[in-house]
Amino acid sequence: MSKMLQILVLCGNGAVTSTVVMTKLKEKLRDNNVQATYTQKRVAEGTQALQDKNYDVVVSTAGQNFAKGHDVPVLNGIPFLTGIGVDGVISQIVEIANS
Amino acid sequence: MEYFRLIMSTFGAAIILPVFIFIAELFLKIKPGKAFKSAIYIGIGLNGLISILNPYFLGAMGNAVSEMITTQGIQLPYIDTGWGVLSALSYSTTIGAAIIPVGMIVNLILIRFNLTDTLNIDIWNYWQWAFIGTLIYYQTDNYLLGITVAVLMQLICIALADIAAPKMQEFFNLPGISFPHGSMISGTLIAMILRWPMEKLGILKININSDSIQKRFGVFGDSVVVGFLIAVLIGMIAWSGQYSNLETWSNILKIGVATGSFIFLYPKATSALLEGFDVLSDRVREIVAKRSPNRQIDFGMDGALAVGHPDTITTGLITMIVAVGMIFFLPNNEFLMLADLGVTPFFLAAGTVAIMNGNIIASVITNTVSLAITFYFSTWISPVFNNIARQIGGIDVESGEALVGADIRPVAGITYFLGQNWITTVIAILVVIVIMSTVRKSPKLREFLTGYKALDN
Repeated sequence: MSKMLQILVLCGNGAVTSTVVMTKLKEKLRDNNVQATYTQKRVAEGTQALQDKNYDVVVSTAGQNFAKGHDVPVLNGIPFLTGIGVDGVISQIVEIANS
Repeated sequence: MEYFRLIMSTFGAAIILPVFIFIAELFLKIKPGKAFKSAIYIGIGLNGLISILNPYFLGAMGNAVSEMITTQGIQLPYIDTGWGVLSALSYSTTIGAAIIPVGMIVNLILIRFNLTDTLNIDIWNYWQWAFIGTLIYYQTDNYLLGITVAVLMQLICIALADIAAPKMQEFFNLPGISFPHGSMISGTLIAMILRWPMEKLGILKININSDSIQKRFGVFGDSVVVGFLIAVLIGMIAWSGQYSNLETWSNILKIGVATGSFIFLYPKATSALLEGFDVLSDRVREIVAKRSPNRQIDFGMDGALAVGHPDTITTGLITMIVAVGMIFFLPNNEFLMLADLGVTPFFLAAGTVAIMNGNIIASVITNTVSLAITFYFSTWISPVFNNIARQIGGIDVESGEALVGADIRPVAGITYFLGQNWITTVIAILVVIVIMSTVRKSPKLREFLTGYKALDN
């Protein structure tokens, strides 16, 4: 059994593309037996969020500059929007869950 | 059409739109169970926005704004209750019902005739085109003109996205992506106009480190905090002279908390709406992907992707504070930007920074201009919107002297004014098509507008 992941999902306004990413993440991770809790925020709040709480992984559709100085893995959420390369991102998260 | 309007105003958007989407999804061969769930989520999101959050916020602000208008004479009647409500209304009209198939077909035709490389798969944001189309339809009672104006806005968005694409891809490091997003591309339009003068004035040469500015904002970079403070300020203006009364302070702090709650919660409601809508967008994307040609295509996406760039955030933060000043000091402004304070300045900035090559001073100046234009368009068009929202029905649009307004960003406002009659609409469409094909053939013109230097020239 893998550990419970704390996942932070970020996008430009914390409502649109992050929702699309989160809905698909939930579905795919459930299929892969990964348990996770999700937090959704605006990218402008990203730096603050990383200071306030320890996340295991961040998925962002708006770059990764907010994570400067933190060693949390930041994955690209854009594949969830285009549909190209989703499996690669999922396997990275599964790996983190099992490590 | 008359009959449809009657049904719409009787049932309201929270019922009509889910039914629309459910039928459309069955038609596109989505499994009934999945379609049903998606429709329910759309209903929940809409209900959260239209029946719970919007009336709550309007009710809370109504008193203070009415008081401010009647006793202090400060004319700020049009309250910004956020884009969520505007998108919900847009998709629940007959223009909204048609915009996805019409927009897709128009986009595929443009690609077929080599007028664009952009395939806009950001289906959700088609609402921005439907919104302006709906205003024109209700105002003129001419459905065909309404749809045509929606298409005009689509053409302007795609043309600008296409012109800016090489520069955007280079600057944001997002190959294969362009931004035909109505709000973001408004910033791009203004930036294209101001880039050349900025370069001549030498402003583009001044360098400032944006990271150091960002850190100084601290909690004032949070839109909930800023929203709270503005609401408290409005309360203090509205009830000035009654400070000795304990109840006054209770009222002042209550509208602060109400505004904070609204700004925090309305993306959550929109998120439910989006979760439902995504089933439909996914399917449409699948269908269209099969029909796109073999040549290089840029996927048109939500401007949210570019908001995370540090230059965007810095420019957005500074101009968010500028916007607060504009609410009170911009001459003749009647638009009280509140719900989207954390949205509009950032999306306009996202469209601006790449064109200004990350130059913070030029970006802040440009974004200030874009915001001023937004305030004036919102002041002029909000009365039209408020009146039409009454006709569409199903949503509270007033509380005392306070009225629900609409945040109209530059491209939307320009489209509205161009769309006033058939002659200007048709001329505008032709001009946009000529611009599309001209800029594609001229790297020099593209460089002049966006600063993009093609490598092989």
